[in-house]
Amino acid sequence: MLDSYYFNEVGRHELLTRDEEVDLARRIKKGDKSARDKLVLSNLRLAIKIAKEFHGKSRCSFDDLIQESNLGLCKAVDLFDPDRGCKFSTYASWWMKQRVRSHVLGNSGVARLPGNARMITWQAKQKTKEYEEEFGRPPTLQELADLLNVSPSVMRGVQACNSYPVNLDAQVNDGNGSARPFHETIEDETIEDASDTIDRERLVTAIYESMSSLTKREQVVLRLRFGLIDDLKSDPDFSPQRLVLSAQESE
Amino acid sequence: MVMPKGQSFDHGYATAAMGYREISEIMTAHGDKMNHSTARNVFLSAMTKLSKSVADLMGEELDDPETVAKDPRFQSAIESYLRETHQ
Repeated sequence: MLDSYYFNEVGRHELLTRDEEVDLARRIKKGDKSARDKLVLSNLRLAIKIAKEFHGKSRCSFDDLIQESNLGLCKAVDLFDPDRGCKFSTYASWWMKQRVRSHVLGNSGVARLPGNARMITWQAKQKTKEYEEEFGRPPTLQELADLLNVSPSVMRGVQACNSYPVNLDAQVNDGNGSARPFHETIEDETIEDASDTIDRERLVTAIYESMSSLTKREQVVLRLRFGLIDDLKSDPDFSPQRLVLSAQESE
Repeated sequence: MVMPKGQSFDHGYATAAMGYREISEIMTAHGDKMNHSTARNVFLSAMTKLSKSVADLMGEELDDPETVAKDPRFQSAIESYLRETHQ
């Protein structure tokens, strides 16, 4: 774990002026290693600041975030072009954020996702936020897929990969002062409500019994109308005549 | 053809496996002489009896059981329940 020594050490390096940055960058281009070290060391404070922005939003340790941010800083130092006219800190912060963001996304789920999936995850979060601010509700899967220009199946897969696992055996408080496993508190949505089942059974029984109050002619017409003659169709000797005759015989 | 005003199909049509004409042909061909209107009347008579039974079960009294019997929603519900018991 990084201790206060690191932060003190980082704080010892003075911030650079614009001219110093340009001068160092030009020397780096010529292969001056000491200039490279100076530019890196002078911007370590910025790397910590960037890491802080992501700390608390992920389960990654602060040390790791700082390390990733530093790696982004090194990349920025190697690629910085002073003739473009932008400040080094502006340029470098994009590389640092990109590096830290990639690390956060890569280590936030159970499975490590490929780079493009991580990018879609990040963009989905951003777009969802923007969409909610504009329309007051989260976008549907289809809408999100359209916004990111990916197929709904890809969007669904990315969302599934980013879901957090839950320990079903974890003890949860059931509100009565006692605890029980989490899986016991999950409702089984496939089971019909008991009172609905009883009502339905009563209704089915009543209709079934009512059928006996119909004349055989009515029963035959009703069954023909609704096509409820499967049991007879499976009989090789079935004919509608038999259905009618059996009804007449009964009468 | 323009439908007359005030036609009573407020809730569409119930799906049926067999039309009244088809039913009447089968019944006639097999000894029970019947035209399509009779087939319809027999069917609606059966539905009326069932509507009364269901109303009794619910503790309701129907003012006009014939209207309920003609309602495609009621017919579809009865069909699904009968299909359930039939299987």
